[in-house]
Amino acid sequence: MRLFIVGIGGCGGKVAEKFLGNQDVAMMGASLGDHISFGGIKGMWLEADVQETDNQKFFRPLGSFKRGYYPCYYIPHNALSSESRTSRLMQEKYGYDLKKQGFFRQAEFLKAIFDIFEADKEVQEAALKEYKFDNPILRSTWSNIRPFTTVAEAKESSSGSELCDGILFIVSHGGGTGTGFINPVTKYIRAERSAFPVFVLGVLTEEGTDKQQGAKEAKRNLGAIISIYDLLTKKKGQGVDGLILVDNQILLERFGGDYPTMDSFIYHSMKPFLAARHYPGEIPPSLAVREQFLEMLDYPPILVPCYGRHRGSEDSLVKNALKDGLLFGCDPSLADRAFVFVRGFVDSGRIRQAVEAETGLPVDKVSVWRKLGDDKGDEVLIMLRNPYGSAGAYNIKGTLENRIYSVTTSAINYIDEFRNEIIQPGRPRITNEAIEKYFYGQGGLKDKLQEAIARIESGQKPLFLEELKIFQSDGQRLHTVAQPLQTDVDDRIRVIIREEAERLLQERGIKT
Amino acid sequence: MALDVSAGAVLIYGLALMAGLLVISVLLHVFNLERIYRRVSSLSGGQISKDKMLSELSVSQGSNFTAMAISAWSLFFAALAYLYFLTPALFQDYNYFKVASLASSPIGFFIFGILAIAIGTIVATAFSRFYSYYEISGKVKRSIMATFLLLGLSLVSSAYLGTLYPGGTSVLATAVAFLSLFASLLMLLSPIYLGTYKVIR
Repeated sequence: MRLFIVGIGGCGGKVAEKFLGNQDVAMMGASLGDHISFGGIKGMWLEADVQETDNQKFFRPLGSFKRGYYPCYYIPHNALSSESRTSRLMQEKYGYDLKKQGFFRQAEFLKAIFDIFEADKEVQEAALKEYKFDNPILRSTWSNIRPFTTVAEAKESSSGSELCDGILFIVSHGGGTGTGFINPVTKYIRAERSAFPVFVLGVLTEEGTDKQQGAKEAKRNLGAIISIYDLLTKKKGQGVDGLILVDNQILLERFGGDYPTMDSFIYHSMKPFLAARHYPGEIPPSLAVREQFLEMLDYPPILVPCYGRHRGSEDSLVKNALKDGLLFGCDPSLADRAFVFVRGFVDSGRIRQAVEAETGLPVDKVSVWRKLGDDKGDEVLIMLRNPYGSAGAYNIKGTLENRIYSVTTSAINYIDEFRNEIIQPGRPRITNEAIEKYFYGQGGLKDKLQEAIARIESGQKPLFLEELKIFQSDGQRLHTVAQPLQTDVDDRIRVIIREEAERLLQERGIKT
Repeated sequence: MALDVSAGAVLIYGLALMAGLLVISVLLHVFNLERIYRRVSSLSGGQISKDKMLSELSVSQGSNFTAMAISAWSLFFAALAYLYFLTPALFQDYNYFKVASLASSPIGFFIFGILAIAIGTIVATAFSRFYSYYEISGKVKRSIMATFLLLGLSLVSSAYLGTLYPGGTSVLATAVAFLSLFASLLMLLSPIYLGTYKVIR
């Protein structure tokens, strides 16, 4: 298993930076050799805000990759030029600025844009004429990720045998770029490869007002719930293969608001998952992990990471992780499976027994993958699958039900109280109508969130059931489970034809 | 010229110490790999292929580090040659001054150093492969890089001893040359000791 890490948005970039730090030494601040990240992983950063990219030195613009610079960032909307007809059409018809620098806690902003790209034939045709692809933003984004993955053909490969067999997106569920971009980009990838492993590490932002952007907690919660809702309501093969949830509130209480340390802790917690140096015979390809994550499920699971480091027995290692190492509050006994990634000299049988003793899960529901560790003791990452579903648990602080319940009710309150913020006057009627239907219509987001509240209260799984969209064909709202897009298949056909034409032209010496 | 007893003692005991350290390190490295193999094998409930385990254990340390480690080892062998084979303090019959054409050349020291580095590089290239079997932290990697300073100090001190010869010698310069060389060796081999600590705990 070798994952390609894609940090999306401000938080995603900062956490990805920890994952992608160079393990090699640098001379005079410059690394002359290849960039080596922990576990041989590779990655990049997607960001919408140009200023954010200017304020950091770790990632370089993607164009510099050809000159040997790595890791890189990419600004997806740069796929469109300033004078773009598609962009103008989107602005005039729907009032959305495709070149907007950041999204400031508006999860529905990007969702609406990509729904329009999927649904509006006029926008598709404009994009097709101008950029040869009907969704140039997602197309260019995937084109830049693809060469690092095993999906790429050998000639596209940037690094020979070091291709990644899965993707781990890192996003913050705070309503910004990560929140809005994760679903469309996953869906786009899925249209080409329905079984390619795609995991998401989602950081639920802490409680309270965002001091930097002044965003109210309720507004951030709305962004978070839209994003989580969309991730968890796509059926197997249409969305992500697992949402690894981290609660920043827990990290905030633990590290007192030292954000770089919190980001580092997330990275260190995930090390057993990403590490190389497997025990022989215990080297799972990402696809095998994906299959286990999704086994017997129709919808992607929530995975709660529990991390522990300990010098001692397997029992105490597991206890330590499940008692003090939860990165998202939950009751481990409610999990329906556990995936254990361990580093060190440990007995997998004892690990299984320890997990069984702590969670009540039968040993055949506990998967263990071992790797060789470092000199600081053994460490374990236990991912608990869907550790929720107890009636009344929403009243108990520290449970997953309680946190999601509180975020959901807060989002519903925002929808009720801030109608004027959501339905912005001055926007084209077609947009406001669609937004109104999406938020307030029958079977709309508010209704669905209320249904989710009822499900949480009665302890049902999964939390959310039905995918929602803001736009369907030419501005009409849709709320059915999405199918892979025909247009994406068309894109692929165009690429194949172009590549074949280029090959023939080169063979005949017409083009070099 | 009569051998200065104190400087001679530093050189003789120092050489024995370094040779002993190298031998112990090689044995520890073999022990580490064997111990990992046995532990992983017993934890996996049966016999596993040693080659498979070694290939899984081996990780890239980065091309910068690898280049620096090879260079550091080359420099180590050059510094060793400067300390022990530049003057006849220890090896009366095998030293720089026994090669008249080299000793009388204005660039004799330089040629001697280049030859030592060339031979050292061949040994170092094979020798530094052991690093790939250890998980080496950034701190340890940086300390291995820092050996360049110590080895430079050792070379300068040995060269100083060479310029004093045959007029005299210096216990202090000999001690500085040896201690910096010895400290470098400890740092260069530190991943093996840390690895041993990991496998025996």
